[in-house]
Amino acid sequence: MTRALLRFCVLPSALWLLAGCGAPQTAPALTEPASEPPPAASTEINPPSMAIHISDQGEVSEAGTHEAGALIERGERVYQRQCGACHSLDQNRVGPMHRGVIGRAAGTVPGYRYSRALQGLDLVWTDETLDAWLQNPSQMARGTAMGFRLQDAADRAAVIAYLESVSE
Amino acid sequence: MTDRDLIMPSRRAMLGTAGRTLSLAGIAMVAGACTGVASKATADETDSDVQILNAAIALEHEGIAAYQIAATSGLLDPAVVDIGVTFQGHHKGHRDALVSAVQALGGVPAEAESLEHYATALDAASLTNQADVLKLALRLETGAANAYLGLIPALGTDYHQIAARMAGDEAYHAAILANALGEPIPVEPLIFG
Repeated sequence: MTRALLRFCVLPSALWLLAGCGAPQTAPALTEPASEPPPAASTEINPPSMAIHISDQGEVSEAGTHEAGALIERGERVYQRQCGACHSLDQNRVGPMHRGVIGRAAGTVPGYRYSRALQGLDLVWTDETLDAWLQNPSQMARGTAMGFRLQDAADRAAVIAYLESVSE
Repeated sequence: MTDRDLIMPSRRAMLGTAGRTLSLAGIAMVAGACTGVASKATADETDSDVQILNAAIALEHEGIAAYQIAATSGLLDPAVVDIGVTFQGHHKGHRDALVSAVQALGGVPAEAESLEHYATALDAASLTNQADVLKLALRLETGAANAYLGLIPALGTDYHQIAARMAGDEAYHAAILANALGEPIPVEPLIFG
């Protein structure tokens, strides 16, 4: 058993040592960071529309800005981990690209082949419609190919805040 | 677990046996699971399962292509290529099991796109070294594990087990890749999902 454990540990370590050895340097570096530890599960984060604190004089407070920034950062991590298998911001993959999704009519990304369910879905993506979609896509468009559900409300709020931030 | 379990087979041996074993096991499981589907599921539910399973097939097509692009990139050490080919064999097993499931439901399985399509979609041109490739693989495997776990509630119950088993495979791949990249072990439980 000890030998087995040692071998389990040594193999990946050897891979790590090999990483970067003898690799041609011919193209620009991949800019996306390695995955970070998952955010702690929580339902205490406010939805994006409530994340920024605005004073009576209409000024955005420093704390509110910081909170909004943290929400967007969390949203990016959740997006990479939960949505990244099928989606990216600028490429149609298993699912359609997401940059600019807020305010876009459903089923209209150029070059992506939508299911019949999405072709017939008559709505515009907003905070509210995206939240409902991510919670249960089949309930909004029966027969959609997107079976994935993002069940944590705070994660949904964070992802929507992130998508808003990259859509501006 | 024994020492024998941990010996990495040669690439030739892996290509010759592992994918076939996984495929047959997966197909047998899916075929067994499907025996009661037709009588229980409505047409809408069956169509929904076909759509979702086809999205999973598309995901597996992309994973298979990603490992193919990586293996032929010239960026990887041969030992790493062997491990990538092993992981690719798992994805081929997943694909075959999912194709069998879609066919059993009377659907048409999603076909693979060209390798060029996947190279563009994954921005393969930006990969410059082995670490870049491993980071991309980790991102895809982590996402795939979460994707399978996240779609379970939408699938008919007959497919819950196979989706969970595939999520387990992806999580295994992700753990190996994260370790190879020197990432810390997550402190919090419930790492995926």
